[in-house]
Amino acid sequence: MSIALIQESAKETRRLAIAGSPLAVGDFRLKKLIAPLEQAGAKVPVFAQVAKAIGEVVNGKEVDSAANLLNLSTLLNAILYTQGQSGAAGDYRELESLATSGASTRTPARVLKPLVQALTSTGGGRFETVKSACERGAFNDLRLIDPCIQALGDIYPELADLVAEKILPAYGPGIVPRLKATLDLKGKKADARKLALMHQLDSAGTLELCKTALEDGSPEVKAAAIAGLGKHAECLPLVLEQVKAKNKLLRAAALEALAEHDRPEITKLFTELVQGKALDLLAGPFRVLRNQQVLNALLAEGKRVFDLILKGDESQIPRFGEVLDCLAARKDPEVEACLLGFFAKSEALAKVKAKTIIITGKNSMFTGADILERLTGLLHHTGSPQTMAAILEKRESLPTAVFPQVLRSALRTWPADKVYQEFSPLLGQTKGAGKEKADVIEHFVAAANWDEDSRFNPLGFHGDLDTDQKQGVMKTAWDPRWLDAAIKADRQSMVCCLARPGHKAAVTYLLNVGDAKKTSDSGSLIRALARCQYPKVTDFFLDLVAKKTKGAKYLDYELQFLFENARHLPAAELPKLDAFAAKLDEKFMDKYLESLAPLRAANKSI
Amino acid sequence: MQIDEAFVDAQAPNAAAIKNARGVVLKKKLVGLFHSADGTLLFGDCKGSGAENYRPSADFGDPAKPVYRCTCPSHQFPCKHSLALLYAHAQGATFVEQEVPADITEKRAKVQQRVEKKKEEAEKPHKVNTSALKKKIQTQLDGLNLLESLVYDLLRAGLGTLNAKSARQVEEQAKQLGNAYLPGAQNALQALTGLFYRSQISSEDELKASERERIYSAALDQLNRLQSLCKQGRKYLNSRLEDPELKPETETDIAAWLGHAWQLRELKDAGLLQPGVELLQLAFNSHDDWTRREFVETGVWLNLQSGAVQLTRNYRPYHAAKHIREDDSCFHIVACPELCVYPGNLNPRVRWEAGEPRPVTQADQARAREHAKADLRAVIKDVKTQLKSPLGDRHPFALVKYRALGRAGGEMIIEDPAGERLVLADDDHDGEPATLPLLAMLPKAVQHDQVMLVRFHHDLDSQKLRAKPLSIVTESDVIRLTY
Repeated sequence: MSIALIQESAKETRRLAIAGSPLAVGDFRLKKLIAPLEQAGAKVPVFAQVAKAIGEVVNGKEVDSAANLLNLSTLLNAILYTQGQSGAAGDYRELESLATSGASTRTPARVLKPLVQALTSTGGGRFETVKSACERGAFNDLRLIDPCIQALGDIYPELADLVAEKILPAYGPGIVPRLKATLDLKGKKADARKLALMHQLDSAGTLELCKTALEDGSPEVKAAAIAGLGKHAECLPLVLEQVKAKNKLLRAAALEALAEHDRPEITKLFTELVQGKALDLLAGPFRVLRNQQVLNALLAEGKRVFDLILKGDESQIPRFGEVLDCLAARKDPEVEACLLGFFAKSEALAKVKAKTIIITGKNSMFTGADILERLTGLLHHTGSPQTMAAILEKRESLPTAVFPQVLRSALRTWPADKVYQEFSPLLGQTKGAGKEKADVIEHFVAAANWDEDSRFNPLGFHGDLDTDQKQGVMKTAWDPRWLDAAIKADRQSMVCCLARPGHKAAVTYLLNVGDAKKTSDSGSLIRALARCQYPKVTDFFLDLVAKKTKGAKYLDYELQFLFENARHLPAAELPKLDAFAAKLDEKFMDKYLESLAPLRAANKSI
Repeated sequence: MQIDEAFVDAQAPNAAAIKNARGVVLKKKLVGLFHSADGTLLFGDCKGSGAENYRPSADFGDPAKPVYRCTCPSHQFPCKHSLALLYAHAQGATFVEQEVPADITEKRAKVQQRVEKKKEEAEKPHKVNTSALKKKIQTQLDGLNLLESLVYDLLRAGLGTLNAKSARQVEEQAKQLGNAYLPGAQNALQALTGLFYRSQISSEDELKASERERIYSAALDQLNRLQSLCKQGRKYLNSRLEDPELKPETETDIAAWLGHAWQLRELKDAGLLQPGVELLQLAFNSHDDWTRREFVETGVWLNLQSGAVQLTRNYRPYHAAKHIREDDSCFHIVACPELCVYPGNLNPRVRWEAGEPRPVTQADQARAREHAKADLRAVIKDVKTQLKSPLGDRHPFALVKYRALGRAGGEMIIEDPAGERLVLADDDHDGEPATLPLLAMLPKAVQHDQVMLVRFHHDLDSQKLRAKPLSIVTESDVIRLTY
């Protein structure tokens, strides 16, 4: 069958349907198809039918044009539907196949669709949805691979990073072809993540692509390529070239990648950079740099700049800040000695004022006091007995801002009674530097008595410490006299943390706080009273709940915290607590009942 | 009766009910768990916001049709309390034997009475109110006249003049079709007008010029279908007007096209019933059909007795979506004592009143694979026959056997033992995700001598007939590529 005539007729019919059926009457282009169709119709009757239908259109009346045109179109489509091409010519080739982990497809639609939605759309709550699904192992389904790849470009970076770091790698190297198929070398952060992931999953197979990306990619993609190439010793010359790139992002990426390699040309490069203007790019690389020569060069530069500052050259302050940034993550003995050397001149340093404010991006150090603050932090982070002793020795002359480091050093090196003797008088201070230090002491006590099972951890006070250091501070034993000092100074949070059984004054204090019209930390009160084994703690709790829920429009944080602390109540009181639930408004009941779950578990195990 | 968490998930009306029910269990609100002596009834006590505990129950007196009851005020069935009861059971909680509560015994008796009454009603001859029916048919005929005039007006003005605003105006007029007992026709017209605007959000309505070019062929095809609907519908309704005793047409699906909502009893009376059928679900999708203002869940099933690929469709109008149970993927065999099959089509719609789930076995997988068609040429011929009918389904399904899955001429293909090839391609029908990229991530074993469920689509502009892979049936599993 000569289908070309039918296709031509269909094309003209479509044109006229778009333009309007009245234009089909007398249409020249349709008309001229009639003759060849009639001719073909001699052998194949359907062509004759088409010719007839065209005739009815072009020779018909305008009022019937719509009906006639649709009759023609229906006939043409019926023919064309039977002529669709479904095959493919050419030699057969096997499908490239890299099976992934996660070949399961047994996740039901009701679980899968919300996840796909969370990964591919925008809006709040998606990170939590994806995170909890990841923890449940819901991503063990290959139908989530494409949505995850799409999420690499999510507008919320935490979600994109979660997908890149935790979810997609679990599928294994099988997804590399899919990542490659969707990779745009000129793309942005999403494509940089894709390339980084591809290299992580198949470093040898992605090497050539990284080289291509380095030539042709956007800055973000190039930076990812540099990080990948930096893992291959034979590609270091390519990475070295990027140290001179115009784009700062690429220079930084190159330096980070090179820092992991200890080679003469890299040592020479870093030694020169230490003395140059690009010190701000070296903070990252110095975290991994191991070469002693480079480190010595940095320390020498630090000493040179420090001496200039002491001589009054305030313009060197930002540069000194950059040196300290480079030393921040290091605990080498030479670094410690150098920092102690700087710290020894703290009195002279404290006198350095800034005549002009030099704002240099993230470096916000302007005066000698700022330097001192930074130095104290670094020394404390080093954490050796010598550094802590140095801090404590100069505690009187250090700025108030570094009091946390002073207190931490004391807690870790002095006996508890000495800490009490030295610092308890501060609790009575009600203004100025003394009050600030008292607040720090109160925060420390609260942090040391953190309820680790609580989801409310409002004090991120030791976020700058590493795990061991944090543990050291948290496990400190506080002198028992702190409780009395806290009661005397009306330090509510401290009393809640330190109250202990048998201390009547503490219980009296806590009950008075609870009776007050406004109680801001009722959850901690309950925990404290339960610790003191106050016999009526449950009634006290229920009174507080009744007070707080009366007229409340929603379950605020304070109420949630109060409910959370129900778990400290005696498990034997569960029936009383359950009975109270019936009196609660519906909007509070669910959370209230949920908070009693630990007591039920405790009852079961008895 | 095996009650596992997957079974309970499937019983829930929607995802929110699942979450709430699990919450009830976690919060330990179920304070009493009981079962009847014969194990067919689970019941319990559950704390709620009321003064007294709620009393949910799950009645498996007829395992194929469980009945869920609860004293809570919720209108959803099963409610979260009944579902929580099932989750607790699935998670191994201890249920104590107790006598069936009096109120449930009473309700069971009433259900039995209802079943018997229904049986009696079914045996009674159905009386037709002839004059009411004639009036209805005449209204429908008037509706078809309206539809025809709308269609011709559109074509006279030209598709090029149809935009988002005028499309919505046509839809306003199309509401009269619904009033004329022609909801099917109304949906068909909305399927046309819906092509001309982007979404329900009016601020993003108008299509770009390039988008309009892509939809004209589909729009013209839909106009053809509407004209055929008018012609065939008129013929069908006139024949019924002449003989009101005439039953709805069952040789073709013209009745459904017009909007007839088949009752199970009608299908049974018409002999459209298959007894003792077992179904294996091969694919599933749910989508928001905003032209119909409905959520639609479509299940694609293999009838293990006949080898036919049949569909379930669950329509949930927006205004009632919360109260109608949402379908979900099914990973069990469903054993139906009676399967009702709707008229017409290569892949007819099916429904059942009672269906009992059981786990899929390797024997079921083997049976499914045996039903697959090994001759691609014959399958394609059947598909083309379906497509050429103006009111035929434009997206027919088929279960096919292939010798090889690979590439040829830059396309992904499957090839049957005779060397006939079928090109595979994605389409975005009903908002489904792409499936082609998944094939390369499957184990190598799927590339040879397997069975694939495909859905065909014909592109009128390129004149290509393509198939989208939806699942692969291996000896041990159904690998789903959509939902």
